[in-house]
Amino acid sequence: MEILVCVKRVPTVGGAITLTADSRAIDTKASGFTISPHEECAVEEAVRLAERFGGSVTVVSLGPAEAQEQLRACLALGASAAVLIETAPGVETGPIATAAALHSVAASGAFDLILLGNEASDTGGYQVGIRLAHLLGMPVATGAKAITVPDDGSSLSASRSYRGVTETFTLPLPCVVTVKEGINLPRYPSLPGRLRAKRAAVRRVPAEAAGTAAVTAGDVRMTRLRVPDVPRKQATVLGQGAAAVPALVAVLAELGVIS
Amino acid sequence: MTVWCLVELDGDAAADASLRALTLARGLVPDAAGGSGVAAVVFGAPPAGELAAYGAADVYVVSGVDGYAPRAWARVLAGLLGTAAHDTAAGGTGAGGTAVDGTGGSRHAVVAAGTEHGNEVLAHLGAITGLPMAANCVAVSPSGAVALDLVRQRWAGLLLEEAVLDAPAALLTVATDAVAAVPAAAPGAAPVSITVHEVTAAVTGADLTVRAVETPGGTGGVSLATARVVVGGGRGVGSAAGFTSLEELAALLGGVVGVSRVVTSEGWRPHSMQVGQTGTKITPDLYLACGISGAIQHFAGCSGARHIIAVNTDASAPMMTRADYAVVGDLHEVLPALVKALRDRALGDNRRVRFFRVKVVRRFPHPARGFTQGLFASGGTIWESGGQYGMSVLRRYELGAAQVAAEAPLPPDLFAEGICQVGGSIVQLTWKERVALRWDAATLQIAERIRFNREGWGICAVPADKYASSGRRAADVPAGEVVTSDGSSELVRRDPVSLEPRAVVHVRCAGNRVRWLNDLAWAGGLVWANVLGTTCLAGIDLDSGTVTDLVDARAAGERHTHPQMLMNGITPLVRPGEFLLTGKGWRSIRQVRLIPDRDRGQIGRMLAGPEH
Repeated sequence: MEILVCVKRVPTVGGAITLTADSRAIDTKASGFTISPHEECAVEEAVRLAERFGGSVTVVSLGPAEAQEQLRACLALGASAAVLIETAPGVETGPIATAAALHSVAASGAFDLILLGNEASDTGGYQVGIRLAHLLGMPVATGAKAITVPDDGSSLSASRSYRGVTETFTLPLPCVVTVKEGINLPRYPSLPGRLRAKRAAVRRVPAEAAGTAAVTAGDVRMTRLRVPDVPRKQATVLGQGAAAVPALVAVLAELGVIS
Repeated sequence: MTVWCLVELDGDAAADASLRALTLARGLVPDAAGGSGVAAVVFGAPPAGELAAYGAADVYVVSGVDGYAPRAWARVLAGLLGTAAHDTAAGGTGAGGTAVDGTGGSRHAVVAAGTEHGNEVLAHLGAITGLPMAANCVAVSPSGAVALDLVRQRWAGLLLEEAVLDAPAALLTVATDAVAAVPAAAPGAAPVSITVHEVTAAVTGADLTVRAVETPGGTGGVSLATARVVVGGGRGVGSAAGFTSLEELAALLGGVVGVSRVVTSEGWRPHSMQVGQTGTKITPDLYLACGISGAIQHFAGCSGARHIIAVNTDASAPMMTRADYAVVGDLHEVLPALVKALRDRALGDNRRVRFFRVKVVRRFPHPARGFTQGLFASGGTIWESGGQYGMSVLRRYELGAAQVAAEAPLPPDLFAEGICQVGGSIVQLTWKERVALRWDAATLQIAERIRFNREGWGICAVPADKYASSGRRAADVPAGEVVTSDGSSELVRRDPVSLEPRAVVHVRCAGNRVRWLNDLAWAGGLVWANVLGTTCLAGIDLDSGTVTDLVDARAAGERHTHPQMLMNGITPLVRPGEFLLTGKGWRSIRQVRLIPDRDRGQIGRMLAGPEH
C-alpha cells in the first residue's frame, strides 16, 4: 500500500501566544516548531498500514526550508521518503493554494491512500484534505478516529463519533482520509530511525513549480491576528494541602455542586 | 442577495450550533429589503417554527439524499447557489433575503455551523464551486460592495484572525462556542411566517459514494462534553493508578473525569477522556483541575467552564492563576481528604430519607411460578415477564387466579426482562440482546422490535403529568416517558415509543451510588426500584436521582434455598402505599402495605447489594 501523508510545520505554543510586531504571525523566537497532533497520528496510522500491507509511506509538506526538520521527524517515525514544497520564508499559503500544491505531488505518484490531519492546529481551515480529494477525483472521509482495512486491502472504513452516534464511512481505494488525534498512540522515534532520518534525502520542489505562485489569490485574506481578551481572574487561594478541604467543601456547596 | 443557512437537526429540533449559525447569518441580510430573512436548508423534517423564530423567511426541505452524505449535501447547496446566481443575473430576486444587487456584503452567502458536518459540507462546497471558505467565524460584517470583513478562530479559538473575504459567494461556518443563539423577534411579537420549498436533490452516484452509516455510540452515560462537573487530571496524577481518587470524587459529585494531553500520550487514560484543542471542549458548571499546569491548548478545551478550581503543588502554574479558586498542595493528599469529607457530610444527611417496613396484607397465587423479571398490574389484571433463554414468556392473568389466562413465548435467543404498558402496547426489555419488544396487548403478538442501547433490566412508564395527584392508575394515563434500569446505579429516561434515551439519572443515597437497580415501578411521584439481592425497595426522585424513601420488604420475603430465587417484580396498587411483590419462582404474590419505620441500618444493606 503506497501512502502519502501531508504534514505542516506549526509553532509550538506553550503557556501563551505572543505575536510579532506586525501582528501577522506568532512570535516564534522563544518557541520551537512541530507538526499538528492530528498529523502525528496520521503518520503513525500510515506506518502501521504499511507494516501490515507492505508498501511505503511518503511524507509531504508545504512550507519553508526549515520544514525539513518536521519531515525528518516523520522519517524517524517510519516514513521512507519526504518531499518539501518549498515556500519563501514568512509566507502563509491559503487552503486553496495549499491543496493545489499538494495535488502536484499526490498526482505524480500512484498512491492508494492519502492521509492528512483533520485540520491544521494553527490556521484551522478544515478544508485542505477535501479540496485535495476533489482535485484528485478521489472519495474523502474526514475526522476519522478509527480506520479499518479488510485483509484484501480493497476498501477502507473510517469512523468517528458525532452527536453521540458513531458514523462509519466506507470508501474504495484510492482515497483521501483526514484523521484526528486519538486514532492511535504514536510511537516514539527509535534511535536507528532517528539516525536514518538524519541521513535521508528530502526532495525539495520550489512552490512556484508546484503551481502555488499566487498563494492567497481568491482565498480568505488575513489582515491581522489578535489574541482574544481573557478576563483576568484573581484566584482565591483556599489554603494549603488537606487543611483547605473544609473551605473547598464550602465552595462546592456555594456553587451548588453538592447539596 | 440570498443568505442560505444549512441547519442540522438534533432529534426533531434544530441543533444548537445551527441556531447560532442562523443568528450570525441573519446579520448578513441587508435591512433594505424590509423583513427579509435567511433561507434555511434542511435535510429532513424542518422544525419550521423554530427556524422562523431565528429569522428564517424560507426553508428548503431537501429530499432524495438518505442520511448524511457530505458531498451530496454540498452538491445540493451548489445547486441552490447556482439557481440564485441565475435569478440575480436575470434581474429577479433570490429566494429568502431579497435585495438589490450590491447592497452590502457578497452577492450570496452559505452559512453553516462550525461542526464536523458543517465544516465538512462547506469545504466540499468550496471544492465544487472553487470558492474560498472561512471556517469557525465569530463575527462578519460587509466591507464595501461585495467583500466581507470577518473574524475567525485559529488555534481552536486561542487566536483570532481578522480577514477579508472577497468572492461572488461567501462560504462561512460559525464557531460553535463564540456566537450566542438569539431569536430574531422579541417574544410576544407577531408570529413570523415561513415559506416551505421542496427541493429534490440532483446528485451523481459519485456524490453518494461516501455516506455515513450510523450505529449507537457509547453506553449513553454522562458524556465529557455535557457533564455538569468535570474532575480533571494531568501530569501531577503521576500514573494510571493515581486516578482512583479522581474517579471517586467524580462519582460523588455526579461528574466525570477528564484528562490533559500528557495523560493520554503517557497511555494512562484513553484519548476519549482528553480535554483540549485536540480533545473535547467541555462546558461544565465546575471544572476541578488536579495536577494540571494549564498549557494553552488545554485552556482551548476548558475555558467554557463556569467555575474552575485548581489543585496543584505549584502555586504559579497557569491553571492556578486562571482558576477561580486554588488549593496549593499535592492532589494525592487533598483529594482523599475531600472524598472523606464529602462522604461524612452525606452520612449526616440520613434524616432526609424516610424509612418504611412492610406488612403483608394478602397473599395471592403466583400462577406458573415464573422466573419473574417484570410485573405490573392494570386493574385486576397482572402482566408478568418470565426470563431465561428458550423459556422467556409474556403472561397475563387475573390477580387471585391460579392459572395463567394467556401467554406468548419469546424467540429462544431472547431473555425477557422488565415490562410496562405504553398505550395499548406492552413494552418488554431483553437482558443482553439490545432489543426491546412491543407487544399488542390485545392479541399478544409482537408488533415491533425496538433497538435498545443498554442491558435491559427493569422498566416503568411515567405519566406525562407525573406530579399531578390524580386518582387514576398509572397504566391508564398516557406515558410521557419510560424509565429503564440496567443493574447499575443509572436510570435512563427515554421516549416512550422509540425508547431513545433522553437523560441519565444517577441514583444516590446519602451521597453514595445505589447500584443493582432492578425491577421498576412508578407510584406516588417516585420511581420505585427493587435492589437486586436485597429486600430493599428504593423510592427515587427522578429529577435529582436521590433516594427519598427506603422500604425494607424483608417481611414479604419468601424462604428459598436456591440463590437465584430472589425478590423481583414490584407493582403499585391503586391504593397509595400498597404494592404487589413477588420473586423468581416464588409460590405467591404478596400485597404489602408500607409502615413508617426508623433507621435500622437499611441504607448500608441496600448499598451492599447482592455481594454480601
